This record gives sequence, structure tokens and C-alpha cells, in this order.
Amino acid sequence: MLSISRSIAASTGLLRNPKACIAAAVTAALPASQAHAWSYTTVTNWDLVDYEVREYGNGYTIGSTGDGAAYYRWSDSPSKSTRISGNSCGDGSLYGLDDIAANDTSYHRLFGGFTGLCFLLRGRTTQSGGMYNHDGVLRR
Amino acid sequence: MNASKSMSVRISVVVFAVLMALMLSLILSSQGAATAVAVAPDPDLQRSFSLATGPDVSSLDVSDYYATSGAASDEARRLAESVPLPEGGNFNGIRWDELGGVSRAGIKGLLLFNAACQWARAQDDGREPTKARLILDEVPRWPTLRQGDRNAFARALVLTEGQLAAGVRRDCRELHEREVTYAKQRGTLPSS
Repeated sequence: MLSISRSIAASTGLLRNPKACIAAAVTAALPASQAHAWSYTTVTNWDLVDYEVREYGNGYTIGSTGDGAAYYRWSDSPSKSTRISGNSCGDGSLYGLDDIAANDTSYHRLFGGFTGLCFLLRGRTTQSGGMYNHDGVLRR
Repeated sequence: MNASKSMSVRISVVVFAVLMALMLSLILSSQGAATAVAVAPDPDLQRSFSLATGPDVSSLDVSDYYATSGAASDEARRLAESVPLPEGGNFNGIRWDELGGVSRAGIKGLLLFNAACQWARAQDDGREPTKARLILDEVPRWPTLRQGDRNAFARALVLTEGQLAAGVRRDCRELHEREVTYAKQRGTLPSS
């Protein structure tokens, strides 16, 4: 394994250039998500119910430094399964949504857009009952 | 000598009278213009000014919630009376029936964003250019567009260059394309 690495490094000239070697190592060590400078919005005390869709805030835009998509995650473990969507700021039409299972705190991709696109953050519980005062993070 | 003096006096009187008449007509015409502006201001500019100087709405206030599309569109019709639109403008493109619930702040946000896009399209098309420019300059001070991402969007509506300006224009253009499709499906008139 080490010899394979050495041969790759030698063939690309990395052994002769320590700076390039360090830069390559740092780039390889970075997770793919850190390649983007995300914009984050903290969502606090969002109340969701099962009988209607609730909005949070009055709209967000896709920035120029992310990957063009909008993502959402619950930061405190959600007690119920939820459906979170991104809708147009101008006519309310659906751009995209994702279902998040109870206790899931990972990021979920809602939709892909473009720099400057304005969207509304909306959601509901998909199982009976409400989920109150929950916090999350919107990333785009 | 006396005859020529008398003639000169007559000429002076006539010249003076003509000058006075000219001055009087200038004063009257300027007063008339001022009166016209004061009596009949443009209703769209007046609505825009009222929005720009009026109170904001709390985006987190969901105490007034409209769960059905009928209730939401009824409230929207009432709120829309205070929102300026270019000639041929309307809110037929907003999909109240697909929202599944919306607050009063949300309704106002949709109306104002939609109207801002209609004015941006009017400006791009050269319709009512002066009025469109004046209103677009005020849009960043309208309720729901004063802060955060939506304020950046509103400010970008008057820009002509840059990635954000291009994206904002694209958002408004695609909004109108969806509106035309939606209007055809429902048999209603899309905004111009």
C-alpha cells in the first residue's frame, strides 16, 4: 500500500515538492461538504402539526457559495416524522420536499435551485399529533 | 412732442400689461400643476409609499392562520387592495389551493413578492418605466422585504449585473411562466 502511494506520489512529482504534498494531503483529508461555504439559518421553536402546513420565517434565498440546493435538519431529536418543503416565495408552488423520520438529525436535501432563488420553508408532521418548539438548521 | 410722449406712454402701458399677463399666466399654470399633483397623486405610487413607510409584519406570527385555500384567497383579496400592480397585473398565479395553510404574514409575503416581480417584469418590458423604477426603488422597504434574504432579493431587483441580479430575474421570469401555465389550466387571466 505504502509503495503504491510512493509510486503515485513520485509519478506526480509530489515527493520533490513538499508544499504540493501537504496541500494534496489537506485537500484529501477535507470532507466533500467543506468545499462549500454554506449559509446557515437557525430555526428555533418551530411548531408543526398534522392537519395543516406551517411556515417558518418569510423566505430565504439560495446563495452563491453553496451547491445550489437547500437542506434541512432537525438539531434536537424530532419526536415525530415530519415532511419539510421548499416553496416559491412568489406563488407558493412546490420546489421540493423530503420526509424526515423521528429521531433523525441528519441533513436532508429539499430541492436544487440557483443563486438568488427565493423559497419558503414549510413543514408538517406526517404522523398523528403536533411537534412543538423544535429547533433545526436550514443550509443552502 | 406731446403726441410722441403720449404714444411712448401708451406703448409702455401695453408692454407692461403684456408682461403682467405673461407673469400671471406663468403663476397660474405653476399653481395648477402643483394643485394637480396634490389632488390626484398616482395611486400606485401612493400605495407603494404607504407600504414602505408602514409597519412590518412579523413572519413568525402564526396566530392568524388560514387553513383552507378559500379562506386564504379571501384574505389575500382584502390585503391585495393595498398592493400596487402594473397595468394588467393580478395575483391569479398564486397557488392558494396548493399551500395547505398559510398565515396572514405569509399571505402578505406572497402578495408583495409577486407584485415586486411584476414591477421588475414591467421595467424589463419597458412598460410604465418611470413608475416601475420609482416603485422598485421602494420595494426593499416594503413589509416582509425589509430584512434578511428577502431584502437582498428586493435590492437585487434594481441591479443589472451580477450573479444575484441574474438569479433574481430568473426567479421572476420562471414565476411568470408557471403563472401562465396555471392560468391556462384554470381558465383565468395571467398577469401581463
